[in-house]
Amino acid sequence: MIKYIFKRIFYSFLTLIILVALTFFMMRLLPGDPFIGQKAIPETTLKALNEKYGLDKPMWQQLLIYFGNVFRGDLGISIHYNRPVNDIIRQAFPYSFDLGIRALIFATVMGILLGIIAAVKRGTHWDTLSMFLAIIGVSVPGFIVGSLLQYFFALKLTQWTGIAFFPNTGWNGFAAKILPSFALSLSSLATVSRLMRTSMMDVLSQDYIKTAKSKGLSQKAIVWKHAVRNAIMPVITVLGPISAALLTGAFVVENIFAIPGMGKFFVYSIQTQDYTMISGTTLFYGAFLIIANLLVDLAYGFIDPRVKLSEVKE
Amino acid sequence: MKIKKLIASVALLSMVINILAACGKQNTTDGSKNAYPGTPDANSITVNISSEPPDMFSVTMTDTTSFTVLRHIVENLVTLDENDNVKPGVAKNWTVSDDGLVYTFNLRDDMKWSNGEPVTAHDFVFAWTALLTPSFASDYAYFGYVFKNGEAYNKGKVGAEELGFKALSDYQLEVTLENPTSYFLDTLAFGVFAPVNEKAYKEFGTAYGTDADKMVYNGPFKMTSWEHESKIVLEKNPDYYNADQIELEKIVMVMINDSNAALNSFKVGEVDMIGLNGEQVQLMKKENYPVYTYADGSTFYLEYNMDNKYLSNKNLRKAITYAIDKQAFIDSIVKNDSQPAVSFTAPAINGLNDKFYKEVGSLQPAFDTELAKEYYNKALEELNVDSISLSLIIDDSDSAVKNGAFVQEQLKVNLGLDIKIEPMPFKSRLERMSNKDFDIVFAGWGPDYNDPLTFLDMFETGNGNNHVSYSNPEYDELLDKVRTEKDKEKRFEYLKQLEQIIMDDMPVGPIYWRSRDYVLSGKIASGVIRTAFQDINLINVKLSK
Repeated sequence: MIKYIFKRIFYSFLTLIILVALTFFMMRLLPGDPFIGQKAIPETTLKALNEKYGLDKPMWQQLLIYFGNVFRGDLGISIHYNRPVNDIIRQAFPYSFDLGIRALIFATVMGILLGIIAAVKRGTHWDTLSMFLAIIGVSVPGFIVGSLLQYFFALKLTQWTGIAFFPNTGWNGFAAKILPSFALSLSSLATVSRLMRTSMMDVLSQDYIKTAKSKGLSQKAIVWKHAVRNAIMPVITVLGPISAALLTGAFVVENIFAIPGMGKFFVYSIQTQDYTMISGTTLFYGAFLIIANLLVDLAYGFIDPRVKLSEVKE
Repeated sequence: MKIKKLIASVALLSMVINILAACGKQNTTDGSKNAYPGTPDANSITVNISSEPPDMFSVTMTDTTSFTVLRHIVENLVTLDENDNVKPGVAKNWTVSDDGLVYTFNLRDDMKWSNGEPVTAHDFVFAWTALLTPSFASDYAYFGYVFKNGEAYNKGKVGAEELGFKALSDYQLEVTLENPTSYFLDTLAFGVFAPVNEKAYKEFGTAYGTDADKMVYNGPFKMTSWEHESKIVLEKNPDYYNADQIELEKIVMVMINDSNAALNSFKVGEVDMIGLNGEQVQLMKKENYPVYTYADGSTFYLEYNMDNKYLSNKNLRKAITYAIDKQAFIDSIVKNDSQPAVSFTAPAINGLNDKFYKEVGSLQPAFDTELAKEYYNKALEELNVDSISLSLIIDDSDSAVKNGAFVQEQLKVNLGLDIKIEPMPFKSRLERMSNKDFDIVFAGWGPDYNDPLTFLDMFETGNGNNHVSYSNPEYDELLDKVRTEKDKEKRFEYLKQLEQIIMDDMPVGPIYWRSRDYVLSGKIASGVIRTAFQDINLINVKLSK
């Protein structure tokens, strides 16, 4: 077990190093540079800027310097914002995490419940309804869900009733957090519920469920004690990437509800070719994804005693 | 059964919602009574600035949002009034030498920085020296070239002691210019010329201006909080000399980037002022809600690369420009009160006695198919070709793609000319422009200072913004004359000639002069200034009683 964890951590490091190096070279291939603007800037300024951010050195040196800094925990100064990337992430991440964890919990709990109901009441209206919700969740993009929620619940509801139940934008107070969390959770909720339904139906047709039934166990006991625990494994697998995606910042939802989270940095850093910010956000996201997947693998061991982590092939 | 009940109740609910919605509509279409009330707090307003100001250190500042915030918290030697005319700021008064080269400013002796230091002439000397010092890496360093030896110092040819500004005393500043510059005072109101307190700068170093507590203020307001990417809070500065004239206690600047979200926030009273896009202008006008418009000083135009074998032909360039229906472009794409451009320099720019564009007059038809065809046939003949193939590079944003499609369609219909559209990311377009790797590009230009030169000097041979390789010795000679001419009348005569040459040679084809729009909540009575040189100025806002 311990050996397995160490091995995984080692491979994680290797993956991160390759990720950073690849990002480093690929962003340099983008046309343009961080300093090009609509108006020409004096040559002395351009030279000074390149010196300031170390862009005048050969590429391999820049990469080595960057690695050195990263190992010391320093992600550099953002070219666009002139603030340390560490500070920017430290300020923005808590918002994204707060939003993401709410969405994640809601999506997981509701998704699993809907999936179970759909599978157990297969072929009934409940099944149709929950799968209808799932299809909406998968097919309607977040910016439409977000905008509609905002329009009806923050604007129209306030205009009709004269009471502001939900603030239109921002992240102050519980009421402000409901709409964005819901908007963000919808597509993950859909993924989880569909997976859960398929997996539940698979499990419910197994022989041991029949055995349980013939023993005279109640429906409740069969579903909760025997079926769910076995059916939940595929859901746990997707929770790794889903949590990395939800927790590290959702550009669209954060933009619509004006939440000062991480999302915009993933997009704008590339548009502005803010090299340090691109590397910083990529590294952050990469590390998060790898850790989340590691936790998921460890969780297997606890949920399913048959899984011996030391035997899992990398 | 249960399902049926559920469906029935959902249906009932949606009917109720529809009825309520209908009531809501009646309320909002009712003309004058519909003023959105705005934020509830007394003596405070909240406005949307859309995005985070990336840099609050005036020396390296380049973006409009940053200048907007700075205008409220740091005061320059001079400031601008509601018509963009110069008025005293830190300088009480000034004298100008007869040759127009030496300005002597007398500064107020009762101003303080928020760290308690007095505001003195040395703060200007420090900031302007920094602006020109290469290690500060200011994009706008060239603004400092107006000072004697500014360019020479920036290029490392002379020392800082040779620079054309010095503090004669704590409250007297002498400035010597490289050339007599009639618009010098106007440029002094620009953010990059803001004073910086050396002691404060030394305390915070390169982190100066990155947080509310990492810079100092001498203006009508102080920044008391800056939640990055979320909001900035400005509070009235009690030490400001004019504090008793200022009614607002607080200005909250929020950063709502999504335009629909901003409009919703405005309607529910979370924000008192927002900018509108074209679609929203139409929406608000339908509600009979008052929409305010201002010309922001930008011209949008097509740049014709003169290194291209076809576009080197003047008649072809004219044909393309005249063949585009500019009013139709505005009506179908921009959707506001922007104007078709009939010359290059935008309407916001001052001329000798009036706005420059009025003194120049109309130098091209806003749209003329007949004339366009005539020029096109002439061009084909001169080039000795049957057909021409060209491409237009544009940004890949939705609006830019629409711009491109419109131009493409107009040229096809009105000239029978097929052009290819190449959308690309913003930075790629800029790089292609600076490498002169394009046929035609859809571009825009906003003024740096209130003089036609800010538009016209880009066509100088070898100018960094001359992406079209325009080179005309007569033009360059005239530019030199403009720069050294002391007589204002003559100078503007030369500027007019420059404009005429450009509109005749047509290295660029002007399409439209942009206007921008905004709405105010019922809470704001007056005092909002929005012009080409002051994107947002709320210092003298008065509230409804």
